[in-house]
Amino acid sequence: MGCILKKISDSAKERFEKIPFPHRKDEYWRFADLPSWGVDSLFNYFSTSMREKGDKAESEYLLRMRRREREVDCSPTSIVISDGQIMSADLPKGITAMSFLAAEDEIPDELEAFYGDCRGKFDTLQAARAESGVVLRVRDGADLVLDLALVSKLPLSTVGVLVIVGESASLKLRRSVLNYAGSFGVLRFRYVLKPKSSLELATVKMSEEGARSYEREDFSLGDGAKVRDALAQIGLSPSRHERNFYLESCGVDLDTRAFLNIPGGVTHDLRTEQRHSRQLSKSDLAVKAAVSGNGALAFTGLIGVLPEAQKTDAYQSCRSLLLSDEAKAQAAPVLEICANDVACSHGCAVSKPDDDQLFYMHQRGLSLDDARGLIVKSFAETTFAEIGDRQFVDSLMDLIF
Amino acid sequence: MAESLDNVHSELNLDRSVGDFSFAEDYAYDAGVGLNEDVVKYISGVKREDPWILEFRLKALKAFESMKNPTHWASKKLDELDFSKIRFYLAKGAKKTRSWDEVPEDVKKTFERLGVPEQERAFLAGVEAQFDSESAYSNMKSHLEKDGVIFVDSTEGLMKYPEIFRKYFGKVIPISDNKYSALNSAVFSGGSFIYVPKGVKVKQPLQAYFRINAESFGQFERTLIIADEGAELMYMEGCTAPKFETGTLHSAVVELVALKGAKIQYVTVQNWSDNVFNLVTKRGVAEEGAQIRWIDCNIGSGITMKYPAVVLKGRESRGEVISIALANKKQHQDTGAKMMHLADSTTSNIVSKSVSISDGRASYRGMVYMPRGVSKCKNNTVCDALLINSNSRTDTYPAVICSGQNNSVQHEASVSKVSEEQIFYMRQRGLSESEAMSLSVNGFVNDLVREFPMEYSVELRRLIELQMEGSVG
Repeated sequence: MGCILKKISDSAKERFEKIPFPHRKDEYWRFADLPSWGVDSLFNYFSTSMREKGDKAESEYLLRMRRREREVDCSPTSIVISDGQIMSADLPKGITAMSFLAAEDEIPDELEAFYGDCRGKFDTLQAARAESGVVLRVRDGADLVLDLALVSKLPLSTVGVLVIVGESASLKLRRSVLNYAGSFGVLRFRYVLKPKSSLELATVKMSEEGARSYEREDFSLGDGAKVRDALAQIGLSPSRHERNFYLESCGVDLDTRAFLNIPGGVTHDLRTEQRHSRQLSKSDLAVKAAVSGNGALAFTGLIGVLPEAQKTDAYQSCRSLLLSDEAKAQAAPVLEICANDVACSHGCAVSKPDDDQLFYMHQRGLSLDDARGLIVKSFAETTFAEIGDRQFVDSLMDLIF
Repeated sequence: MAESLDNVHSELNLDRSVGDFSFAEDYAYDAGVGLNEDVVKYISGVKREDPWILEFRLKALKAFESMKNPTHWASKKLDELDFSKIRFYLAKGAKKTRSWDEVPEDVKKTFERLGVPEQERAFLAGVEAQFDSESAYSNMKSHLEKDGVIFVDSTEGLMKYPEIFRKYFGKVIPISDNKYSALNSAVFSGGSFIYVPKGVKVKQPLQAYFRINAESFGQFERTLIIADEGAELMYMEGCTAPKFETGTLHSAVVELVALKGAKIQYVTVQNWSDNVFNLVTKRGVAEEGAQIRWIDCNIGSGITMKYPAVVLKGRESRGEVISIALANKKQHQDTGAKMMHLADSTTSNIVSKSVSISDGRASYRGMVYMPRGVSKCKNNTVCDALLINSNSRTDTYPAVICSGQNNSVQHEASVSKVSEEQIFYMRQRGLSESEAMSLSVNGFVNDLVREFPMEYSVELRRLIELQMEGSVG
């Protein structure tokens, strides 16, 4: 390991010891099953879970996950990263992939920026294995489509991915994040968009029961960059996902949407930040969640506008559909606005499926469960409205429902 | 531009610093500076309280000492408060009277300058006027007394009506609810005690006026209002203080109890001078079919932290918070609302509007809680913020926790600036820029100002105009 990554890794290992695991007190607003994320139970829990896995029959959900993995592998332009290692790569012209170790001499500043802002226990955990990562570089002016699968199978699977989209380049990135039972997948992504580049990002996240996943994504957006982003979280195990959008340049256009289908016994914790630090940028974030059984959504969203970011447009919404009496949704949408010539708003709504709609469909022969399913599907569909490849969107919807 | 601003000032002929005057200090009872057991015992001794109250106070003091300032989420300015330099009890020792003629001359002059006796004659059902730690005047229309309405200061309430007072006192807001409710519980003095018997509807508002006269002083009034079944009342409070060099602390606790079918409206117009730390805990419990409305306007103080709450304990009860906050230069208005839906078919509404001027900061902190097991509850929250200058700031920190059957929550917040088209339109019609801005801000809060009683809404509009002075250019 070169000296930069070694330094990062050593310092992260030291900090990891000092940073406490999340505690009910820090996480007062959360209702995640905190002990299952805790240091005492973490590794024991996963090794036990791995042993149990052998006895279980293969679930329909597992088959879907495997199907997705195969689909990505068979795609003409794809890369599969399993437990931090590149397993296969069919890269189109105009994009290069290299490990963090190889990138250390070539782009040391970018690597330092990647690890520059570790705040919590889990991103520090990833930094402790700083060398485990991949850089994807899109050449200036290129126009590409890439399928990317990130597979976690080991009890502790960490990986960092740095995506650099060159000036005036366009990348359509389809991410599949697959977390198998017994694995704690820790992912860290950073997207660097050079001026006038664009990124269309479609993500589906799946996880088997008995897995845990943590992901942090940072978006550093250059002048005139454009992002269209859609995320579907349909995992069967608890997750925490942080998405930080740094609009550090002028004229950035960001549209990001997420749909979370949350089954009973699962908490998905989603935290977003839209930080505007330069003028004339626009960001629109929409989160939708359908919560069943005793599942729970914990959403925290921040819109921060610095005094220099005049003429900002920033929006945020969080809508939750509670499908059972025990389902729970918590939303904390925060605004911190320090500039006056801006238009910012947030909204959040929590409700149950509309009785009139259910009645209408029931009258026309659908069972109540089917009617509810249809409502959830239509609720989810707008999430992918900005993704251009409709065939791909249809295949995703098939996967989700 | 400067010329037009001067004109605005002379035309309005109103002084924003209406409360910025004080009289020489002449107190018979002074607990000295700093806070310890002896101070608490001194206050209790002066008031000749029962032993259980002293016990309550000492317990609260311990809780206060053990709690830290909540600076991990609240303003770091709280750490500037030096409790060792604050005077916790000051009283003239004169007995409270029912006639303005018997009120000590300087106190009477104070309230006359603030227009309190005039308002009493004009439209109030009862008035209580508190000068520093103790109530100086308290009177109520005689027909209400015949109906069994009690409107006294809290010291008198504790002495004369312990059977009602003790039942509810400290129950809505327990001692250790937060650091400042604990502080209030330890050193409270003054405030109102109101009891409205079953079915009595008090048609005119009852008013309390809180005045701080002394420097480096802390005012800790404690208000308890109980509306018995089917009763109705409106209570209004106004607050002013002169501007001193050193900080002044106002830390009140207000507890409301609305029994079955009762209605309580609590109106506050807070116009403390900007050296006052205004840290207030307000909470009401609404039983079946009861309604509690907090109507809150924060214009003054250096920092205000106030989040009126309603615990919707009975079926079909309703809570409402209407809030206006104006944050001018160096001010931080940290206000909000909390709604706890603990019974079926409860509804709540929160409407908050804030205006940030110069480097003022307005924050909204809210919480809506619907736990499992309740059904058919509804909440609607709307927060709008207006930023006037490029260095103004606004924040919203809402938290929504919702589960249960058929419940729905809606929250909306928006931030905007004054429309340039509106300003242009008004400028074209001959208004100066500052007049146009002032009118536009008045329009922004107009729908909420209308919720205040008439006499207050007129005053509010004028105060807003004055706050807007010098904000343009």
